[in-house]
Amino acid sequence: MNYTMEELLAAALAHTIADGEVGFTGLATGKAAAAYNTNIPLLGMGLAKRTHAPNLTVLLCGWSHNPDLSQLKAMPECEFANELLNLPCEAQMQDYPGTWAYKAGDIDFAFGTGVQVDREGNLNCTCIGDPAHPKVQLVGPIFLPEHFAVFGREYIMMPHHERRNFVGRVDHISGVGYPGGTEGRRRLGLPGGGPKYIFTPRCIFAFDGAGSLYVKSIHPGVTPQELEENTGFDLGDLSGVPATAEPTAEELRILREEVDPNGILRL
Amino acid sequence: MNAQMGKRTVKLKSVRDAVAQIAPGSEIAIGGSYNRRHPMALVHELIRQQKGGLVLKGWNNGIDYDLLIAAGLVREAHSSYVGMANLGLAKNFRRACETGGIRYVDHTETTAQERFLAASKGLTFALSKVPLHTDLMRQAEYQAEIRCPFTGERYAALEAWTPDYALIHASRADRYGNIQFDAVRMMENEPDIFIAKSAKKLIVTVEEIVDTTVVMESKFQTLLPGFLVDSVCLAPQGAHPNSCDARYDFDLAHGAYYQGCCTTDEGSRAYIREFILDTPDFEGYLQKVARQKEGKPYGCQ
Repeated sequence: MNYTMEELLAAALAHTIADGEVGFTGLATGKAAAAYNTNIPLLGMGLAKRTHAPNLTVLLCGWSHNPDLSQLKAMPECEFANELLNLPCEAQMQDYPGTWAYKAGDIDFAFGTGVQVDREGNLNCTCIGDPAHPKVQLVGPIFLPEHFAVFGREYIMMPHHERRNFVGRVDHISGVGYPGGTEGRRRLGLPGGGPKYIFTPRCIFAFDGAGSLYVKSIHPGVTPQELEENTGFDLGDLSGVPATAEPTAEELRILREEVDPNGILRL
Repeated sequence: MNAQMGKRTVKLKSVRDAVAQIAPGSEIAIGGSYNRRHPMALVHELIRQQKGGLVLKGWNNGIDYDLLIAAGLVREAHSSYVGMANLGLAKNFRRACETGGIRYVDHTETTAQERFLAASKGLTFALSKVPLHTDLMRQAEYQAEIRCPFTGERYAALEAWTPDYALIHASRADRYGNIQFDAVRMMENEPDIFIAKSAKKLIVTVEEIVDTTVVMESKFQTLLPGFLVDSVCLAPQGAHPNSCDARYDFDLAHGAYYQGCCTTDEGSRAYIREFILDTPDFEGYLQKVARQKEGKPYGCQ
C-alpha cells in the first residue's frame, strides 16, 4: 500500500483519540515543524472525527472551533494570517487567554514540538546549552509549559529523530514530563496529565502508567538497530515491539478525499 | 458665583511628542503578539529618539523587540516568545542572548500575562502552577513559591508588572483618548487591554482619529475609555510590517527583506539607519517601503 509518513502517523494518532474529546493545535511555522505539529494533528483529528469520534472538537490556534478546512486552498502562513478571519468555524472564541489556558480538563489533548526530548518526557523548545549562557537561543517556551502543566495529555511531535534530539537530559525543561515517574509528577502539583506519546519519523513512544517511556511501535522499514543508533538514551529490549500499523485503504480514502480534499496538509 | 469654565484635555499628540516624554531607562510594556499589531510607529520613534537602557516587557513579541535590541537600546527583556513567526528566528535577539548583550528572562504566555493582569487589578503578585519544575524556575524572577492557604497546593508567585509606559496599537480613537477596536478582529484584545491597564502611563497609536460622536455611536467598541489613556497618536499602518486584524495583513515581503538585512550586525544597523534614523517619521518609513516595492533598491542587501 502506498502511503506517506504523515498518513501513517495520522492514522496511528486517530486511533488514540476518544469520542467527545477536545483537541488543541496551533499553526506551527517552518516546514518540518508544521508537518508534525499542525498537519499530522489536523489529519489525525479529521480522520478520528469521520470514523469513531464524531463528537471530537478540533480547537485550532486556541480560538477556532471545528474549522472547515476544506474552504482553504493553502494552509495559512501563520496564526494571525488574515485568511483565518474568514475561515468558517462553529465558534471563534473571543477570549484569550481564556480559562482553558489554566483549567485542567478543558483541553483533553494537545500537540507540542521542540528540539530536544529526554526519557522523562521533558521537552525543550527554548535554547541549546546552559540557559544562562545559551549556545543557541530559540524563540522561547511560548505556550508549551501550559500544555504540559494543564492539558489532559500531550503528544510530543518530533520531526527529526536523531541522537541530538533524543537526549539523556534536555538543556532546558520547557515542558515537564515525569521527573520521578507519575508519583514524582504528582508531587509537583501539576494539574494536567503530561506527555503521553512521542511521534517521530522512526517510531512511536508512549509513557506507561508509572511514567516510564517505552517504544510502542516501530515504523515499517525501520530496524531496531537504526532506532538505537539514533536515540541518545537506552531503549531497553526492542525484540517484542510491533510495527506501527499501516493505514487501511478506507482510512487513506477518508484522509485524502474527505479530510484534506485540497491536499493542503500533505507535504 | 463666577464659575471657571474648564476645558477638556485633548490627548491627541504626535508620535514624536508622545515618545519624547519617555525617560531613558524606562520599563516599557509592548502590546500585540507574534506578528500581529505591535505598535511599530512608537517602536521606531524610540529608536529615532535613541531612548536607551530600556527594560522591555511583553508576553509574545517579534520585530518590535528585535529592532529595539538591534538598536542597542535594551538592557533587559521579558517575553514567552521573541521570533519572526513564519520568517524564522529573531536574529538580533538571538545574537544578543548568545553574546550576553542583554539580560533576557523567559516566561510562558500565561505567566507573563498574569503579571500584567495582577497589576491591572491592583494586586502585587500573580500565581501560576504552569512553571513548576520547568527551568524557568531557575531564574531570579521565579524564586518565590507559595502554598494555597485552602488546599495546600504549590504555586509560583510572580511579582506584578507595573511598567512605566504601555505602548499599544488599536483601531481608532477620538481626540480625548477613547480607544476603540474593530468589531471584526482576529481574537480578543484582552492581553492588550490588561497590559494597558497595568502601566503607569499609556500611549496608544491608532489607524484613524474619529469624532467623539462616531465613538458614541459605536460605544461597544471602546475597550479603553479615555480616562485610562495619557496620549493617543495617529499612526496609519502603525503596526507595519505586522498585521492589524482585518485592516491589513503582515507584509511578508518586507519582513523577509528585514530578515535578510539582519543576518549580520552591520546589516541590521544599515537597515535601522535607512528605514528609521534617516526617515523623519513612520510615514517616511512607509513611503520608503512602498518605493522599495516599486523596485527601487535600498541599502543593505
